[in-house]
Amino acid sequence: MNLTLLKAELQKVWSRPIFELTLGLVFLISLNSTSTLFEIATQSDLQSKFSTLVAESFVNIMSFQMLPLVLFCGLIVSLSFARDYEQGQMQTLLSLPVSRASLFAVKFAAVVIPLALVSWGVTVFVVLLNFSTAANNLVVIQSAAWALPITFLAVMFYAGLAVVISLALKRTIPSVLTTLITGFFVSFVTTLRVEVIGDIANYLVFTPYKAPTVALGRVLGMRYPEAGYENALPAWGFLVLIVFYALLLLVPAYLYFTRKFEVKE
Amino acid sequence: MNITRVGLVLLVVGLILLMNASSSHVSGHLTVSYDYLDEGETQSYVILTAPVGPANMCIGLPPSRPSSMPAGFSQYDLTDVPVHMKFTDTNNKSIAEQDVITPYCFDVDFNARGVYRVYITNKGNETTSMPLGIIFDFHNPANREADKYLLSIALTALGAAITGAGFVINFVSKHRKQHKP
Repeated sequence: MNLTLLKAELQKVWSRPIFELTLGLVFLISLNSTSTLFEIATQSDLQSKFSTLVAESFVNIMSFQMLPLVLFCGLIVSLSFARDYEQGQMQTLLSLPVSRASLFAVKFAAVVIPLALVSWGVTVFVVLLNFSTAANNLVVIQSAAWALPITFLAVMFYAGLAVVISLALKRTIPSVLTTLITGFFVSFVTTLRVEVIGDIANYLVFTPYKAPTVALGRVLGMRYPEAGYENALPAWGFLVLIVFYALLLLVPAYLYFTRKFEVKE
Repeated sequence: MNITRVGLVLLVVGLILLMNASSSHVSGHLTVSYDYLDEGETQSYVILTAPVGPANMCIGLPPSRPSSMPAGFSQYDLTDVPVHMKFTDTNNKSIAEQDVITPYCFDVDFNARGVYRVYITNKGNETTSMPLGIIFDFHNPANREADKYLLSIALTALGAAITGAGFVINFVSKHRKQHKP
């Protein structure tokens, strides 16, 4: 990967106030999705209660972060891909002595890595703020270690979706709007319950928007209802599922970008 | 990332944290009861808490029931049970230790984040449940999380200072450039 190009791309897409807005919104939502630490337990239950609280916090925060991450992915990917097409900068970039694959990797990484790190960093900061005690920091750190790859894979899927939309529309505003509408719609659909849409609501745990939170919950040992579909797959099954989702839209977008369908060097 | 931007990020984080931490998020009444206590038996409760300040702790106070159920409905909700209680802080240092008759309420101050412990020994001659209740005032500002509040003020002040310094440095450097021949 070309580091100079990556640095330039990072500066371009994360310019003021995109980074500040992303961090602010993700932090606000994360902070409001956790409650003040106050639990009464018995001595024998203390460790399991604490682990459950930490796991629930991670899963809750990740679940609430979904919508802002989808929205910001749409916005930033559109600024990275669609705007370059719209302003004619893509031709300039493709005329550089850099392969298309490398250019795609740079553009994708410039969005996904900072966004995943912001999301994960904020999550860990909020959980540490709530649960940091000398005796229990290790549990938080262990949970945080699992949250990083899962956050990264979730953001990869959101970014993949936004890249597909940007490559299809190639105009900044329509791309941003389409991604925002898609994000809102999918977020709304994943909140539907059995009472509204019947048994199909149970299968929403396998969708790309719910699977990462379930994967994290299962890995961290959260208990779901016995008959719940969260228990239909083992923890590694959900991990495989989110890896699949992460690549699902990324691979076609990559192939489309590298096969020189439209813009020639 | 220049210094103004670092300051701005700290300011944003500090202000959001300040907004959240400046009010109380614990209010009302929480009562729990685990096992039954035979005579001479000791029950230890663990309170895992943030530094949320003053509260009222009640030993042996039955949970509130629907009005149709008379007090003492269960044979295990006994009052006037002599117990020995011990309350320790996050450093396992004893704060209160005495013989009392239930229901017994006393003021506590959760001033540190961590684990507080309450040990209750049944000194009566009957088996009984031994609920532990914590009562907070309704949205009392004194019940905000002290450490989060301090951190938010520190981040906000630091962010404001760095942003201000960044603006001054930018202004001075622009001014110097303008005066260069």
